[in-house]
Amino acid sequence: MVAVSLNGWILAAHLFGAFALVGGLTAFVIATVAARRIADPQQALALGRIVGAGTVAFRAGLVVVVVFGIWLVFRVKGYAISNGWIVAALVLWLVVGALGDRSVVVSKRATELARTLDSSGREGPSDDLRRALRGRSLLVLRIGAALAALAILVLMVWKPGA
Amino acid sequence: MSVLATIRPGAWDLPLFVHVLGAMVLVGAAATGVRAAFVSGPAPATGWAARFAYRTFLLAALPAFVVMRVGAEWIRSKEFGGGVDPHFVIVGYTVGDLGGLLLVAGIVLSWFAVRRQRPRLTKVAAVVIGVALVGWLVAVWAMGAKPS
Repeated sequence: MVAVSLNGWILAAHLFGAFALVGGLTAFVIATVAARRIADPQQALALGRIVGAGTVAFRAGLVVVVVFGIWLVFRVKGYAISNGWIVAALVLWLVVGALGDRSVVVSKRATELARTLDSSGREGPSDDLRRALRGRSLLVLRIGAALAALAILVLMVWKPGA
Repeated sequence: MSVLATIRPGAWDLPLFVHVLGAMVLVGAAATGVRAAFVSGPAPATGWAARFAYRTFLLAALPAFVVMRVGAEWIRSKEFGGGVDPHFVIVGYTVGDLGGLLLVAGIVLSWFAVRRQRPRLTKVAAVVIGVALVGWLVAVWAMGAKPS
């Protein structure tokens, strides 16, 4: 018979949230690299469907990781919500959420443009679509969110001041 | 957002970081590739998705697997070097390594699928790597819950 403590279940749920969040961000970064080589509306629509699954994982992970993380803080002796590394992680979590969510909005604009071009019967590469997919803001938002998530992982492992 | 382990010597931090980061990117990249493989099809645009899946498995998931596996060995040598491995480590090694074999098999299948333009084979590769993904999620549960 397998025995698991309540804290074990909470930590496992927290980790699932973290994996979903980083998994979604990984999909965003891979899509950013792939988008630099496409300008065809149908390919952009396929990319939009691939990134859509990453968006679901990102948003679900964002909620799950913080809910179970805060629950753990209140259950584990020696940790408090006011600890510097936990406050820093929460601030970075907000940054990840804001940048990641904004990148979803910008990315959807490119997908909408691809849909418009596709439904108008346009075939072959489009300069407007190329610009939308390779926009500097999308790159900055996605890389920024990924770096903030990486900083959270550093805090979770090293726990400075704990 | 809290603990990956409550009490831990500082020397274990870097190996743990490498292991966890590799595992997170591995799961994300494998899931992205699987999704792309299911989006793929015989049309040119969806054929592009098959190539996307293959490249994601090969250039993102496989290197992440290596980083995760190196980190696992590194942290194990520090935490349980010479001793008996606890259950969660045994679970992690078993599903991790079996998943690695499935990942390589899936990469070979998706390479064939792209080379011979066989969309169904891309989906078979996605199922094979999807099975590995489920196993890795079991490993994530074992690392967190630490069943005894």
